[in-house]
Amino acid sequence: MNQIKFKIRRYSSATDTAPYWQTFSVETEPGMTVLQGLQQIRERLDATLAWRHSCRMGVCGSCAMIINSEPQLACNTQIQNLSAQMITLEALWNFPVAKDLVPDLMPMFEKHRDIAPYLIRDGGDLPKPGESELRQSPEELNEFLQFSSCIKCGACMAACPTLANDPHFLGPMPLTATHRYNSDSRDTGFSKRKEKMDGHHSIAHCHYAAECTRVCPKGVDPARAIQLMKRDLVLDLFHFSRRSPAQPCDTCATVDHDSLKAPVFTAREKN
Amino acid sequence: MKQITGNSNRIGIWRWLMGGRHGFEGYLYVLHRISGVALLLFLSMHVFFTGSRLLGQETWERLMSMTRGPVFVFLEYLVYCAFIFHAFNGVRLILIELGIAVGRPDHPVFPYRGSIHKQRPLMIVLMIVTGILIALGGFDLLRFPH
Amino acid sequence: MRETIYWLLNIVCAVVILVLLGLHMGIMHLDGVLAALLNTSGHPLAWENMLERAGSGFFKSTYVLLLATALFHGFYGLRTMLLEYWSSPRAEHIVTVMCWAAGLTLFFTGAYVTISFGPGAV
Ligand code: SF4
Ligand code: FES
Repeated sequence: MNQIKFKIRRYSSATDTAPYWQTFSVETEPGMTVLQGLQQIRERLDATLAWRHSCRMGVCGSCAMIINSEPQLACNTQIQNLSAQMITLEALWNFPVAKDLVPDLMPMFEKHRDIAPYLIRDGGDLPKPGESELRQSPEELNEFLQFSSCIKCGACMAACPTLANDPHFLGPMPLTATHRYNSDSRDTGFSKRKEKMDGHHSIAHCHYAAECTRVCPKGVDPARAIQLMKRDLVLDLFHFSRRSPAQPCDTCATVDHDSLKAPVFTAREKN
Repeated sequence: MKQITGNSNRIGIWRWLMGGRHGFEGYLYVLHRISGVALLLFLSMHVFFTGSRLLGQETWERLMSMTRGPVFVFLEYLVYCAFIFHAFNGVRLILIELGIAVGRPDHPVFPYRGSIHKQRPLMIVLMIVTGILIALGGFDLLRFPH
Repeated sequence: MRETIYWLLNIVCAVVILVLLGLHMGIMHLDGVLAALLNTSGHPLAWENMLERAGSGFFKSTYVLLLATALFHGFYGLRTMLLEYWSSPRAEHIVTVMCWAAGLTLFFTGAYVTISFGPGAV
């Protein structure tokens, strides 16, 4: 058992006028995460301490916070690996604080909503399931697969030096989502999103500090997405489109789905 | 949803300096901006200084002799350093911002090796060249009495 | 597409500056090396040498081009930074206008000096 200090920046938007620091002493053991340390504080020392978590396994993106001046997931960070006697915790930077370690992520989600983060098809011809489908090759999938593993935790937004000054800057997460849909071969919404990409507070303010990529817990690489999007904008400016959108493939739908399922069922029965 | 007001927690220009432990590229970003502002200041002064030649040979030579003092020479060296850094880091940024030096999208498998690793060899080479040129400039400054 | 065009111009300017300023630095500050290589004489900042350069159309036009690109690049960068601090639409307008005004003033001053100065001018 090891004693480690947790120095936490506390603030409640309802009652406090200014944030203040409070230190707790936590008994740690190997394998314990920062999140478990917080749970111990709430159980034994202070029931009013607030933070947000859900999955405890780096999937939901609720528990991002500033751990020793670095935006990270509390559930994904081992206390042992920090090799510090004092762990400082703050709510994510560049977001308003709701309470203690809980940031108000609404500004990020509003920007995300504004960039139309869904498949757009000109003429609305998204095929109905079972009738036909849009074919996508593995190469086409690779164009956006990396960017689709974002869990919207906001760590990149807290690390971004541009966002640290300009609250209207779209920021790494919404911009990555923009590129994720732009580079999907099923999507034709590039021109609709162009206004957002081209405007003030958008990609022209990114100069590859690459802090977002460095802190992203899922390896999404927002900085790469933004630079690739810049290239797409340049190509678009000179009227070079890099790809033609996927076309509905009717023959795909004629596949007998029952025949596809059959071997799976027989395998199960054998077991 | 009710907008939460009060503590905005934006860390502002503090982020540029020491808010957080930056990666190397994060510090280059800050240096690129600082050197850029310095160069713009220098350029404005440069335009007016060289403009003095319109006032004739005497004014020009008087101004030029003023620029040979040690303080001025040192400031000039700083401008030189800023220029060399800005130029070579700029080459990297051009390649990156046109989407050339960041690599293609990859499978995010831990440990993640993203665009930072892709551009790193380029960054290291350019920073070594920068260091060499800055050192050479320093020697030149010491060797020639201006 | 205004911001994208500004940004792309900024990069084009950067490339032009890289080439021209490389030349400029070479001629003005590596004079020791150049003197050994090309057997030229005298300091580049000496009055006579300056007059000689000022008479050359090549120097005149590259200087004006360098001035224009450097100012665009510089003030675009400054504007980018300022707009991160003052990000209201009004500030956007004011900062953009101020940057253009300062840039154009410096450009015309510099261009006037470059063009009007020559062997017969003073
Ligand atoms: S890009 Fe990474 S750091 Fe940013 S919100 Fe998504 S998962 Fe989090
Ligand atoms: S609790 Fe879900 S990511 Fe940490």
